[in-house]
Amino acid sequence: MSRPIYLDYAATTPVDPRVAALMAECLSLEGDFGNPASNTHRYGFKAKERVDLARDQISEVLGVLDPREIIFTSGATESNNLALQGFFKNYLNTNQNLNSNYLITMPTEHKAVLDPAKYLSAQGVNVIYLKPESDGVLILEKLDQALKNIINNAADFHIRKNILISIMWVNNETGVLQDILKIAELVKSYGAYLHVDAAQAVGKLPINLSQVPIDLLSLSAHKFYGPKGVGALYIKRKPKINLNPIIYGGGHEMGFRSGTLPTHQIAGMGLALFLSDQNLAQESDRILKLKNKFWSGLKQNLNKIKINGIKNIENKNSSIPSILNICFEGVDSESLIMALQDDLAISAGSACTSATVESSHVLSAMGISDRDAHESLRFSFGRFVLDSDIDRAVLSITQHVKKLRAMSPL
Amino acid sequence: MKDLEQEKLKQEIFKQAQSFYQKNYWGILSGEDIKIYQAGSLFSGQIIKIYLRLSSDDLVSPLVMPSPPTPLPLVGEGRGSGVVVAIKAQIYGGPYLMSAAGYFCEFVLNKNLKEILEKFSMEIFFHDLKLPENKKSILLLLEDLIREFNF
Repeated sequence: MSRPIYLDYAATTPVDPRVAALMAECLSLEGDFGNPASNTHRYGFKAKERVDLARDQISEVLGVLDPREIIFTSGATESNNLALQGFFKNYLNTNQNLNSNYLITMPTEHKAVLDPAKYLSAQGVNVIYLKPESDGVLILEKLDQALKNIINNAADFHIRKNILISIMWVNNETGVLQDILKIAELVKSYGAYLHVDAAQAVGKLPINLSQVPIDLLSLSAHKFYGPKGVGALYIKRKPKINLNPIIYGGGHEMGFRSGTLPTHQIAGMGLALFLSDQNLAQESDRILKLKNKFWSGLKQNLNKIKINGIKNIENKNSSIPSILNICFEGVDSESLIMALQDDLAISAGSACTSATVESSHVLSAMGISDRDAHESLRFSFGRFVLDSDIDRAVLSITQHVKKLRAMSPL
Repeated sequence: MKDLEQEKLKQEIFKQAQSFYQKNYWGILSGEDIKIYQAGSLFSGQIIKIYLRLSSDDLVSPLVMPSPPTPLPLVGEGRGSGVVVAIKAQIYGGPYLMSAAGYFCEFVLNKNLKEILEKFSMEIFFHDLKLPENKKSILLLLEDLIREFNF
């Protein structure tokens, strides 16, 4: 039996074989298995060279001028936690009467931002959630107004205001892009700080941090054909942002993140990002064509389907080519996933996490009804998807949606 | 650990639902003699609609004919008339509901009302379907459906 076609690249990507080969070179006795922190022998030097190379590769792709601004972590979740908790930890430990802390974010963020935000709220940080428009995009005026309100708040007018804005570049469920350049400029005009969760953007969009005033940026290797369990946080050095570590034990990574560096994973991440960048424009065009073909095929075969998010999928400035979120009216998304299980590997727009099926918090925040959210699926495309895979996927989805609709009493 | 168990359970349910999905219970029966019952709501995201054809005195399914020396049942009681000889279902909901509905169709087929009422047990269904605790509401849906039966 052939394996299902993988259309869940937003969840994770397979490691590129070239990356896997490089990682293998850093594992066994014959390779560079040493501890990069061991500065007394050749094994350590070699491992450090691998880590330094990866740091340079990542810096170059992201337009980071000082590679020391790249801090390795275990992935975007840790990076987001370090960014948010590390920023406020500094001020929460000091006299509360001298500081007023604000976090502005969106309800469409990943749980790796929303959960730390919830935690910080319990610690006394004022958390403000800015709702997006129905297409998932944040209107700048809303952010502007929120910042104005904080600055002009008479209650804490005379005390220091620590403001962090955390906005994701590309939404992981809908593929909707935020205008990060404009957001960053606005944030800077208020003297606030900006963290960007770029887990779905890095390796897929051209990013130049020397031209966008972002203070903190999270990335994760397994989203761009690197290994799982490794990521990074970009921490701007000039002007300096005060950030406290959340993991202690040795002072690795410029004191921001203690723990022995996993050489093989870091080396893999460096190469994976380098390879993604080499082919960025062509890959992006190819994937957009696949997405268009997929959507046109489904539209031709099925009625009552709609896109959640930006409707004009051809516009690369509004949504990323690799993600498409579709609502199939009258079809429960979990049943469709089940029906497609032998043919396709995909994700739902909702998750069975408790007694009731919870709607996707992203779709709900966009104002999409519970019912539509329960009938929505995320398809995400990537490097190893072939044109013929799209034909097969369209055929299979068409058959099963028709069958499930025939099975429905609605 | 709990998550892992839940994930395993979900995989099992998916397999179970897939096997019911392939079966022939889905769709509608039409005709004047068809009885239709429905439970659930769009609000809850779960609807089950059942179409039944029952045997009548002059149309007793050979499968359910009482064989001698069993005494013939009274009309409306026991086997004979009022036995479900055909069933189709329509559902709107997830794989758990699909599994439960498919299993329910198998359970109801070739039984009369008395047998259905006697043998339907939430505990047995729960056990056989391997439903997670938080999906028990599906069984209440089936119970609601049976309560509607009036043949």
